[in-house]
Amino acid sequence: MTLRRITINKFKIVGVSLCILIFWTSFNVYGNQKYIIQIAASKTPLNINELAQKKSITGSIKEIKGNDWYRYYVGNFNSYNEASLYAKELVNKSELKNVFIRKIENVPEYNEKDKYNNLTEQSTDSITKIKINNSLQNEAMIGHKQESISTDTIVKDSTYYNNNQTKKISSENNSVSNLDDFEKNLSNYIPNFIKDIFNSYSKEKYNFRVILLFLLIVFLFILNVINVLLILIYSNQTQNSTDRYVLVHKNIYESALMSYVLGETNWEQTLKKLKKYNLPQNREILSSILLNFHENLRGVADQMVPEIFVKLGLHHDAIKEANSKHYYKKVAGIKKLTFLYPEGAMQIIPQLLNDPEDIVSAEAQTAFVRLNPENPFDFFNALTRPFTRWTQITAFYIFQLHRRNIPSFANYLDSQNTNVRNFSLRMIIFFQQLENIPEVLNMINCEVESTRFLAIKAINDLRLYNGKSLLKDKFQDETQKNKIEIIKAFSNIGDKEDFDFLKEIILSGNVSLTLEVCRSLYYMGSEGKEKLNQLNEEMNGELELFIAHISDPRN
Amino acid sequence: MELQYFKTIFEYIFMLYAITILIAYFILAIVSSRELFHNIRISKNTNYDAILSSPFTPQISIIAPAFNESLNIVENIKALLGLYYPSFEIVIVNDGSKDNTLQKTIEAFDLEKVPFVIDYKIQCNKVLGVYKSRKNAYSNLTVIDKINGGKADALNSGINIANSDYFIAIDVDSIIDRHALNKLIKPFFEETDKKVIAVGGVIQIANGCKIEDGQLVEVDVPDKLLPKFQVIEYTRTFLFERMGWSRLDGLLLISGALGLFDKQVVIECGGYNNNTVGEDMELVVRMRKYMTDNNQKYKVIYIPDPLCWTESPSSLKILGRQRNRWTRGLIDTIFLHKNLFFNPKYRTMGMLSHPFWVFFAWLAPIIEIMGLMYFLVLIIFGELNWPFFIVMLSFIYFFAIFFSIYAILFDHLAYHRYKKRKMLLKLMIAAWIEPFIYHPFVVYWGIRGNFDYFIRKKKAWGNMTRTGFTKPN
Repeated sequence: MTLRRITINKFKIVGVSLCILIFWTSFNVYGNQKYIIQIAASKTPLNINELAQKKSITGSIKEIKGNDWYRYYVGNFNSYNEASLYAKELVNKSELKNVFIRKIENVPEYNEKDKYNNLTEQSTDSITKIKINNSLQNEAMIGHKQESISTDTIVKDSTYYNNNQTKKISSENNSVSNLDDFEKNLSNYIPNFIKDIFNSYSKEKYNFRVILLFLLIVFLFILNVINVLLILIYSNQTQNSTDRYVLVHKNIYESALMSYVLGETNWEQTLKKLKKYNLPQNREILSSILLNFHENLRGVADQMVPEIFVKLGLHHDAIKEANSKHYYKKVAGIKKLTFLYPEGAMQIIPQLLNDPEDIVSAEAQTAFVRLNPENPFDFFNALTRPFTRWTQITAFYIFQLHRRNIPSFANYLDSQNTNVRNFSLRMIIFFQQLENIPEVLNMINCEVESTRFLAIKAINDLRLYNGKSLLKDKFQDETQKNKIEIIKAFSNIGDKEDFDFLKEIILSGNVSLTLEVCRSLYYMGSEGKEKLNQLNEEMNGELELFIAHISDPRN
Repeated sequence: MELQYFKTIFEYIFMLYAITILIAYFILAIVSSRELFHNIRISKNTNYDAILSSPFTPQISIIAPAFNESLNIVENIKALLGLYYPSFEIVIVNDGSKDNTLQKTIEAFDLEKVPFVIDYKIQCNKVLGVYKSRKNAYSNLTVIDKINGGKADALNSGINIANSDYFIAIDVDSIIDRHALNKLIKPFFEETDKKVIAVGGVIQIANGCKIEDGQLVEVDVPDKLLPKFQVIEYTRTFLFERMGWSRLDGLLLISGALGLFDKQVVIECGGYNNNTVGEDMELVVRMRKYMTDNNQKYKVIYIPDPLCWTESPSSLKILGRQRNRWTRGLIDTIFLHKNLFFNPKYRTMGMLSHPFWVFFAWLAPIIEIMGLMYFLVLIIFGELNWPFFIVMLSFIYFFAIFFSIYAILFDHLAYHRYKKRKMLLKLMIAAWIEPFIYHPFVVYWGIRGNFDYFIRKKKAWGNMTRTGFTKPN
């Protein structure tokens, strides 16, 4: 048997033993517990016969003495529920105003016969004042709510201690008794055929308040489910009807506006066809149609679109949206103004370039690029918010699409904004702007890694031979990513002067760098290939795999 | 007397635990719903045209470990090749499959072994060969054949070979939305002062859906009960929990079925942990710790778009194995990073997320079982307060239903994926019976996971049998 199997078996044995122990202990703890119904207590012994007659109690009454108190009880039950049932019955059938269910263990009892013979008469007044000794109470009552059942107002100033806290039964039982009255009255209105069920459950088994709470929870649940179902149904229907509405009106408006744009109708005729265009929803539809037109139409037709936008007063809506406090409305407003009301847009957009909401500032930046063909990136100087890569890509896309004038991006290389510097470097590389090489080379010394990377890439892509010595100087202190880029640069600007530098890198043993050196040498030209083969021989063919790797164009 | 105290303390502990867990999930649900609608508004205004045609769009490597996937491997790779993104490579890692996964792939895509230098930046088992296609159409496909080492090891070898700055770890049998890469890369490009190191998306259950050419064309609710329960569970988890944690900057888990990562950060962290079955969660936690320890500001983001559809286990046995593994992975991660526990240095992760996972994910089934045993003891000895019990049970049940129903509602309002009312009704009915039928199994599997972890010291994945995507009725 393996050690693991033995261990598992051990745990099984322990687990089973534990279960048995729990049950046995519980049985011993709980099995010897009893529940009694205390009907009276006194500092002096009472005459039980008198007590029984006075309170119309049938059944034997027993006495407990403890801590200077004599307590009189009936019954001896194994469970709380049984005791509770009996107690209710006792209160209903006797003259007792108040009884207590108590849990006890190993209680000493007087012999019944002894009690009857030895009792002395006591004032019945003592019965009305019930003070329960603290320690005995705690001993008997921990963990159980003592239930007091009464159909009448109970004795005043009656208190009990439960875990060292004083509670006034009177107020509690008053509310209980009020509820009981309510329950009693309520049961008069309940039809007979369910009255028995109601009585058996509310009175016999469950507290009325519990039922109310349960019903409340069920009600809330049903309400919740109905709410969700209604939302689902309503949202589906709303969505479908909205879609239908939009489709119908879109077709009508599109057809009317297209006729106007193509010169088939005049403006008055068109307005007549644009029914209810003043409704907010319809104005949204019109805005989206005009945006569509702007995207798809060209020439004269495209020039008419902003005119239509203004004629319909939609520019007011767009300005209002752009000035809204909600970011998503601002974005929608900026879009509409940019495409359809540029004059209005230029008054608002500069204020939004540095909006604290990233999505708004990004939209404003893109709009600025679109609206300023001469100087699309003039806003760089005043920019304090990030110019994210997403915005850069979008701005570049607009730039390319609309063939804007290309500014000299070197002018922005001294910006404090890292994003602006990086974007400028990317643009310098893409547009091959060779007029400001010193500024580009300066970027090699920037403290931001990404800027240095782009500067190295610029040296590589723009074939800036002046930068070779800088790259060599910087190599050792650079990150892995930048080192790889430096090595790549040597495939374009390197020559045999750099062989020693490259050889050092191979000898350093870094696999990625070695691979890039081999690639650079391979693509440097015939001299580079020759050097590579020579190095391979010197290293006893260790570079064989590297050469095979780089010579496969798929790698 | 002492037993009475014991009993009272026990009851107070259960009560406190129940209240705390309900409040925690409630808060998460509220935060999640706000984040969900915020994301929906943003995505309405997003235009992906620019990124699709830009020369500055970065390349992404899709790394997909494959073990005994011969049934669907070719279709899955073809589906991946059809993703809408300008520049990506696919790296399939054949992790020592015992069937003909590699052979099928070689034949289907005309692959041949190429000489390849691997820089083992992250330790992994030996790579037996790297395969590339002779055809230009599959020029961005690379298949690695390696000695079996588990999912984490396979991912690490994929990372070693990947060329891009970002990689997505996926399950090869998952269906990725065609626009997934655009949506996942976007948060990386929108980072401002904080570096985005990982992005996750919603995973949904594909059982019962219509799939053509490796793409989901029609969404439907599964016919079988078990996947239906999982649909609800996934919806609830992704929409009402993960979104909230993303918003609170406390997200500890990006699902292994779909997650985009910054490769450099992963390498600096040491890659996926081979010694745990919860490698996905463990990696994210370690990445976050790494960034904090190096005083770098960062973000882990979650986007609510359903970007990945996966086959869920439809038999109890397989599902049990999966949940067992998840439990063991969770315990592993919790204990491996126990220094996070209420550690203010790690802010939300240390003070909220880690304790949350400890108390409400790991301990939940244990406390539930203890409660059940206590309940049985009370019944046996007639100590149970039945009215109180029924009220409490009703309250907890209805509260649980509340979450599920609202998750279904929010999912519908956000995405309208389930077009027919009948589908929603099926889900809601399943939500009502889930606590009675499915939840006990979840608890059992959680306990079993604990037992397997602590007693049997089980580390293996277990066999996950795939049946392939079922055709819809």
